[in-house]
Formats: sequence, structure tokens, C-alpha cells
Amino acid sequence: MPDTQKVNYLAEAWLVLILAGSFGAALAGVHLALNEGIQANKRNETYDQIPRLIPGANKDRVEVGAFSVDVGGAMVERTFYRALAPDGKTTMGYMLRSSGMGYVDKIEVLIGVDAKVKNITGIYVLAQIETPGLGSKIRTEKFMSQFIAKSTTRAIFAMKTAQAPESNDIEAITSATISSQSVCSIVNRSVREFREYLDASIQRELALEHIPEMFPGVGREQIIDIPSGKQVVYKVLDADGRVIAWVGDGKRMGRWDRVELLVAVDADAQTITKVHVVDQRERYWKKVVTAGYLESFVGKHAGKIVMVKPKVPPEERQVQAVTKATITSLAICRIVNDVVRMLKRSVANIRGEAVKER
Amino acid sequence: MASEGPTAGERFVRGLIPENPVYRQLLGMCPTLAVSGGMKTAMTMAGAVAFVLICANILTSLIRNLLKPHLRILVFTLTIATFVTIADRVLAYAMYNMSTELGPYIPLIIVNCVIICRCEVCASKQSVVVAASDAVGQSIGFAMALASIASVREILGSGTFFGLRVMPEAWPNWGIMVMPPGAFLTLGLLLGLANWIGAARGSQRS
Repeated sequence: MPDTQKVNYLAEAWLVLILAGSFGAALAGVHLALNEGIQANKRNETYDQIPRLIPGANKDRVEVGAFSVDVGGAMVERTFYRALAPDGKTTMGYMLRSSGMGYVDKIEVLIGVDAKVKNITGIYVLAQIETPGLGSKIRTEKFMSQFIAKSTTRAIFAMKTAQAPESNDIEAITSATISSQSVCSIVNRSVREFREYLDASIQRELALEHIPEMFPGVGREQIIDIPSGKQVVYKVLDADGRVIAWVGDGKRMGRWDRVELLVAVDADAQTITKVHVVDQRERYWKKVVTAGYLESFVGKHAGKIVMVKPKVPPEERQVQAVTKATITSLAICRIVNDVVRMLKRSVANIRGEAVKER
Repeated sequence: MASEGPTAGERFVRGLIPENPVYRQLLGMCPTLAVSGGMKTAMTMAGAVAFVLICANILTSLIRNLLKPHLRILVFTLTIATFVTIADRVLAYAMYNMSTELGPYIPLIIVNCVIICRCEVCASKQSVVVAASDAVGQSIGFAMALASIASVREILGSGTFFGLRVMPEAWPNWGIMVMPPGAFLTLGLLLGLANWIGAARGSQRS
């Protein structure tokens, strides 16, 4: 008797149905009563950190922005908060919201950076469920304050020993190296992504700041930036207005993160004259510097340069890789080749077509 | 379902030690191991479990005469899930930082065997007063068990108690105590101690 059975089921389940309805209504009531407060708690936790992470900022003068980044083919949205000065226009700094995997689960971090995105002004671990008493110490003031004043152009690593104030690394929490390094990686990645987002203006500023370091005595007025396709070529003039070099910038992934270089060629774009680092986050960068790897490009013909193994003596158009930093060495070599190729093409175009200078 | 069995007082006392949910019944091991790294988290969990257990027991006892045997587990789960959701929301509203620290362990109270066991053993068979005192006794027993484990782990592992320093600065924190192995070690040792005391008392009586 299917009909009778149906009726019986309903008759038997009436209590469950009534309870489900009543509980649903009760939960809806709880949600209505508390949801606003819970959302405010979440919001406040973020906004309350703005004055702490951006010195002098007020949490009531904040603009919220977002940008997308490509993470393994999927576009992921990143949120940032721009703190404004009392005039309502000047940027006092940015607070970035980011997350990444820790030792146990996802860690959410707020990162404060100055208006020029040059230095970190503070970090705050918003959410974490790392091992209590060990990894959970990433939320302590002692750990978080280590990030203050660290440069955004170099990677921050969690080292097992105490670090000197001038170092760009931090001391990891004992027995929680993975959690400590996870926070560093989240900060490194977020800052890089944000800098790329702001790239157009910041990149140019960075290049204009670094070129006088490459050519001592050259002032900013002696550097002319010329758009060349998607890139920019910098023409460096001497005091008499003669071209002394062409500079281009290039970047590629190194072993740990992106390496960004400025490469200069002579006025005829025939010889490499300087290779200068703008941004790198490589763990063994000291080895690259000590080995004089960047200098080994200087004087080479502005053509394709090949990297050979550390123990193989390099020939005319070759450079020798640095022991234990082979991947970084290869990335640098490729960047130099990219930039030199771009510079040769651009310089030829500029000379032939009289490209309008900015 | 008639209200037969132990009295309210007996139920209350049994929950504290003779039928302690952790040391005697070995129930609710997930929160016992997961959040007993510190006293603050352990006591918040104990509070949340107490709220859910007392409410679920009272409600189950009130409707015990309407329960169909084959639907009772469904009703218990529905009741527990509702009170756990309320506890979770209230925590997020009133103690937001603690709520984020406890993470998924508050929602996981739904599958805490202590609660469903008390609904089945006591609340679905006895009066509201007995069910309520049973829930209070079991909650205090659960809180005591959590406190005993958490205090050992926090003091030895972090040198603190409720976040306040109690060990000298020179104390080398036993990192393992705040990690999962420390939870198992402490639980095993305290469980052994509880059994040993129980056995010693039993032999004294006999």
C-alpha cells in the first residue's frame, strides 16, 4: 500500500519536520541579530590595523582597491587599502591583504608598505591556525615587528639565527621554521604582485633612481626615457648632451623569485657596459656578487651570450655560471640577452625613424 | 519512555569523575587533543560544549515522549547542530579572536560523541531535571579533563598558564608538549594516572 506508507512516513516524521522548521527559524533569528556585529568584527579587525601598519594613517580615510593576479592560470583577486593624508589626495601608504599556506592551514596576512612601495611599514597576521605555542607565535609582536623597515626590493627569508638590523632577513621562530618562512613568502609574493600592479609608474621611477648609480655624475635631467613598444629605453647623456649609453630593463624568474636588472650598452649598442640589479630575492645572491658574475658581462659584445658550467673556462661570448647559484646565473644571463636584443632593435628604430622623445 | 534510573544528584556526581567523559568514557577525544594546547582555548571549548550539551539534553528530555526509536539519532543530530551553530555565531560575535583561533573545532562539536551519548543514555529516557543535572555534571567533568590536560601542556610547553608566565624565564619550553604528540602523551599519562587511582581505590574498598 504505497499511499498508506507515504502517510505513515509523514506521520512519523512530523516531529522532525516541526523541529527542522523551528530550528531554521531560530537560526535565522540568530543570524539576523548577530550577523551585522560579526561582519563589523571582521571589518574592524582589518581596518583597526591601518593606523598600526601605516604610520600616521587614519582608518576613516581609506580607499579600498583590488587587482587581479594570475595564479597558475586562474585569476585571483587581491585587495589593498590606500591610506590617504588629511588632504584626501596624497597617499600615505598601502595595506595589502594576502594569504598563503602555512604549516597547518592558510595564513592571512595584512602588509603595510610606504607610499613608494619601497619599505614594509609593518605586518599583521590576521588569521592562522598554526600549531599552538609554536607556529601560532607568528602572531606575536616580537615576530611581526621584525618586518618593519625591510626593503620590498629584496626577498625576506626566515633564518634560524638572530639577524643584524641592516639585514633584510628575519629570525624564524624556534621549532616553527615553516610557519615563519610561510609568512615571509606571503609577504614577498604580495609585495611583488602589488609592485607589478603599480608597475607603470614605479618601474620608471625605480629605473630613473638606479641609472645615476650606474653612471656616477649623471643627473636625472641627463636621462631620457623613450617608449619602445611595450618597453622603455633610457638614453643616457653626458654633460655635453652626447649619448653615452642606452639602458633597458628586464626581468625573469630566478631560483626563488623574480630578478630584475638594468643593462646598459654603449652609444653604438655594440658592447655591454653595465649590468645593474634593481630587484632580486635570491637566497644565494651573495655568491653571485662575490663571484663578480654581473661584472663578467661587461665588455662583451652586445649579442647572444651563453652561460657555461662553473668549471668550464668561458670564451669570448660566454660567461661562467656561479657555483651553487646556477639557476640564478642562468636567469641573469637570459635577462641580459633579452635586454640587449631589445636595446639593439630599439636603438636601430630610434635612429632610423626619429621616435618622438618624452 | 519512563523516567527511571539514577537521580539528578547521582547523574551530576557521576559526570564529574565516575563517568567522566574523557577519562572514563574516552569520548570527545577530538577537541580534547586539538584545543588543549592552552587553557584559554580549552576553557572556551569546554564552555561551548557545556552550552550545547545542556541545551540539547534539556530539549531532548522535553520531547522524549514524542521520539520514535528509529528517528531519535536524526533528532539528536538536528538539535545538536542547531545549538552548535548558535554557539559558533555567538562566539564570532562576542569573542571574535577566540573564534578565529578555534577555527573549525567549534563546528566540529556537532560530531562530539559526548553530547549524542548523553542524549541517548540520559536525556531521551529521563526527566528534564535529571537530564539537565546530567549535562551539567558531564560538562564540568569534560571541562576538568580539558583543564588538566591543557594546564600540563601549556605550563610545560609554553611556560604559561592562561597566557600568564608561571615558569621562570630560564625554563626551556618543551615544544613537543604543544604539538600533537604532546597531546597524546599527556592524555595517555593522565589516563593511566586516573586508572591507577581508580584501581587503587577499588582494591582499598575490597
